[in-house]
Amino acid sequence: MTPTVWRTGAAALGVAFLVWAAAGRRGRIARGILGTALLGAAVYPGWAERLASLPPMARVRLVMAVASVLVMIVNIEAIRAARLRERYALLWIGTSLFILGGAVFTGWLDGLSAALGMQYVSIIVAVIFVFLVLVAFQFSVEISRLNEDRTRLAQRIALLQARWEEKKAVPRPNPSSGGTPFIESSPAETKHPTE
Amino acid sequence: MNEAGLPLMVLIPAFNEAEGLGKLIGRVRAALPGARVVVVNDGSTDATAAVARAAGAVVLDLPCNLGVGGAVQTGFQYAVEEGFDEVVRLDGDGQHPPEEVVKLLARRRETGADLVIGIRFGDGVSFEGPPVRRLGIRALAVFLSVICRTRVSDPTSGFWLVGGPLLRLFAREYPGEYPEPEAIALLRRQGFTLAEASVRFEPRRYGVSTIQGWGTIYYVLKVGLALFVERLRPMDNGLSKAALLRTSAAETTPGREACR
Repeated sequence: MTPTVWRTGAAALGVAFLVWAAAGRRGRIARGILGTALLGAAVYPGWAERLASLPPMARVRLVMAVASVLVMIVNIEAIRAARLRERYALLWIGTSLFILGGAVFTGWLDGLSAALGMQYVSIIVAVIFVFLVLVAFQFSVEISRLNEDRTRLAQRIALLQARWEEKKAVPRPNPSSGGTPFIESSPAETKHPTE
Repeated sequence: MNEAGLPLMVLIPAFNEAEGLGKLIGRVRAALPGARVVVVNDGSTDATAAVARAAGAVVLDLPCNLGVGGAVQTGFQYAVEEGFDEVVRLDGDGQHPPEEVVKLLARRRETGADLVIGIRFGDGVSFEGPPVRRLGIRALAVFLSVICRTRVSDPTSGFWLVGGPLLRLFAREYPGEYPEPEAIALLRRQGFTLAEASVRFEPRRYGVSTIQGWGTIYYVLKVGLALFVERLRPMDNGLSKAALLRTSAAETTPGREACR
């Protein structure tokens, strides 16, 4: 009785999340994943026992594969929504592809782990660490470049503002007395006053 | 002389210096009549800009705080655009008496140097403080003198007279944080010359030193690394003294290359 109620509730909630994800604009990924997970748990309640019965290494690989697919989905969605530039996403997608490859095809990783003397999990941790260091370095470079741009822009604004204030301080000549127009960049107006 | 007939520009970078700035500008105008006083307001949160305008200075109002390097460079860009040939840089805290500027000008006439640094009369060092700090900055001075192949007694002094094509180099390229030692190394690499003039300094009246306590260690390490890396950096041959003397100011107007 009680498990049936739980399953029905979870399934209804999962469907609701999926509908919300399809209709909504922001946060679609999170809702979609949550809805799929709820629906899956409702349809197949034995998943926890089944997962527990797997050998430990298979579980680790499964978790890594799911995590890397999630990272890829989030990245591609962020690029699609124009919130992330491709150049920054490349490192992330590269990392998740590597980890996914390691989770699905184990052969080449065995050779690598033998060569480096590391276990599968250690290799994954090492890969993640190296990529995070690369991402952090890329950010440092970008921050320096942005700082330089910000300096140039601030300087330009200050100089232009000073020039503008200097112009503003000069009294505007009276047009009827034949003075030159205050705004220089309006030759069209002075040539064709009737237009 | 620029086209307006003004021989000299006085550049005062200011960050929250409203307290003493009005009086300082008054002293500059009394000591150097005819000079244009330009205050670079480095994103102050007090009335610095208003005080400077009220005292009759041109104010370059930076929309955000860039640090002293970015602020001073803005002043050099203004000087190049306005056609000034000589710029005196004074600290906004009243350490550098405007009455002593004539000594810098005299020294430049005498030596023809592109940069004249005002150093404290006596020991030549413009800082006070504990022995560790003096030692650190002395070490830096020795290192800088060696790599510049000329005597640099006080790399921390900001009492500068800059003239000629060096203004155009600085308008294009000027280091950021604690810029003076790096700027000296940069100008030497590009073939410019420098001289020193003994002047009377005044005790700091307003604000606090940017280099104190643990900051000294950071300062020496940061500047040391910057000076070392500066040697490894490829030189922009278009900014050498010879190249800048060949080209006109219009060809090197700053800001055109913003956001390269």
